[in-house]
Amino acid sequence: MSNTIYILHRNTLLAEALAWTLQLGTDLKTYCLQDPQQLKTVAGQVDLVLTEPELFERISENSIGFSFPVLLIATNPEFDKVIEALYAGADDIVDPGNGPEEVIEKTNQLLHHKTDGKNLLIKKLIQQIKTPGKVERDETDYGLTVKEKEILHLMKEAQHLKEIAQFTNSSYETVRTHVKHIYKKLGVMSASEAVIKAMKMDL
Amino acid sequence: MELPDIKHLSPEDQELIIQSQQKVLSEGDEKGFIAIEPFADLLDKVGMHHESRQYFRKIISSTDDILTQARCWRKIAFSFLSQRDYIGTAEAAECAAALVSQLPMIDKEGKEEYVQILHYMAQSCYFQLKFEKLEAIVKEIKTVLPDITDIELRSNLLHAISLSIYAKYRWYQFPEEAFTHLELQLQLTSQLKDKYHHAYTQCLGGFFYLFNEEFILAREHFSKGIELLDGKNFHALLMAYNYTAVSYRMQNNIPMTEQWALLTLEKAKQTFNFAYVPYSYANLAWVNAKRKNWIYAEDYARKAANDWSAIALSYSYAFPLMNCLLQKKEFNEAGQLAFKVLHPRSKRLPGSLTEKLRTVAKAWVSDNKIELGNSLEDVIDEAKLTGYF
Repeated sequence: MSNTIYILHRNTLLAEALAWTLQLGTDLKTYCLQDPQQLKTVAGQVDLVLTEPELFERISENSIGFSFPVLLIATNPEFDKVIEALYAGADDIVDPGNGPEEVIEKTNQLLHHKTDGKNLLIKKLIQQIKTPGKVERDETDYGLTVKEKEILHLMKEAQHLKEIAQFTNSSYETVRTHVKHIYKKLGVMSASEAVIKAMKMDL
Repeated sequence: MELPDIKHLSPEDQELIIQSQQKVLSEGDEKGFIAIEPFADLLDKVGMHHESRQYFRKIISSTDDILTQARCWRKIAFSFLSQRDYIGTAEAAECAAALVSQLPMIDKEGKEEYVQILHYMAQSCYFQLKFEKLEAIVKEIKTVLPDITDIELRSNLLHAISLSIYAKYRWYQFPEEAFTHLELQLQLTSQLKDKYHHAYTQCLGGFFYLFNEEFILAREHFSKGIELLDGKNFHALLMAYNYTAVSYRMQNNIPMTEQWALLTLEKAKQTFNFAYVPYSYANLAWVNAKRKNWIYAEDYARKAANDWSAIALSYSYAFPLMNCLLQKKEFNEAGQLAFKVLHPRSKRLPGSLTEKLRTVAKAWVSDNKIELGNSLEDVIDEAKLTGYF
């Protein structure tokens, strides 16, 4: 049976080239979308979504409890939005600047559930923070609740939001709400900043 | 039984068709039915593919004999293949395969039919760049090959194996193994009474040497193929015409490229072998780009791109079009073309050219306009230097 892939990117030339790349010589069906809301109408028929990180949040808003894998299209893997999207459930990153071969390889890995690169970046980031001398301890608890501390701890352990939801017996939406509160209380804008704070708090 | 419009054919072919049709009409119902098949074969041979398929379908619907049905589906597959309609080929070959699977494989005719169907399925996968399926078919072919003694069938199976080698090496610098297959095919087909098989293998030989960048040898094979084909079997003839044009193009010979491209274009349109139309446009785009007739070059390149079916060889229109876009400073579309040419199922290009294409693709993806403009100039220069412009 052929798989169906949706590509979300505001650069239509790039989206079209990626769709063409994935279709050539295969039975894959690929479609380009401009608006994440359109995913609502096809939710049951999606095997994989390729998206730019900027649109990822809107995908998760429009596809509540989505079960399809998501591949982020990003040229800069250390871009905050990328890390944020990885925390929120995106599965891997691909840089099309490395050519069509890498796009095909990463797509096949995700379609066949072979990726183990998930959240590697976050792990790398934590590793950097753990380097001695880089972390100044922070005794403040920022008024975080027990649940919020638990979630922040799990984020520090490089688990993404879908996994955290499973682990804490909560819904994905509830975890997202907790994460928003955590950001507000810590005064941060991204998951990577939140993890740095968590390291300092020794959670 | 209506006679199709044959006015565009040579007087000799018209005569052959009229004779064959009269044979069908003069036989009784039962024998007339048997005579339709050679009539349909003849129509296919002179390039009247659509009409030939109608007659093969007529036979299929009028008989219960599974082997006859399978054979006619296989011939329909060949007819589609001749017009480079790979989806039609695959569908017809699958129908034939399903029918043949109902026959006991100890039956010689059934086994031979199966082998021929495998050959067409391999070709369909090859042209659709479905390499994994092609490999699976070739694996099967290798298991049946030792039992096949018929020269034509053996040569067909060797052809299918060659295709898998071409795909694996992506039409660039073929290994010794492919050369051995080609020599064996040439030797086998030279023993056959029907000259078509040897002629087609000569054309394949030209194709082999062309992408090994041995242009004079390539043209020698094409020329032998053209001579043996004697104006028939247009798909093979057009292959020889078209790649002769490409061989001149790779040697930077503008007048000869133009001459052969125009000949291919005219014949392809005349015989409804539309797959060679965009390829001819791509060659004419190159001719005009070389003459700096940018408007014509772009027009031809876009016509080629819009109707492109030889997907593995998309570089053929991509470089002239990139050059036109560079002139107009429309870098974004040129960047997309570079990205597409890098596809791992497309023809492999020389390493230096591939590296420069990668630089263009990277600059395009990261939206670095200055780098994109500079790297596009570099890539066009490199394509010209390596003969792939």
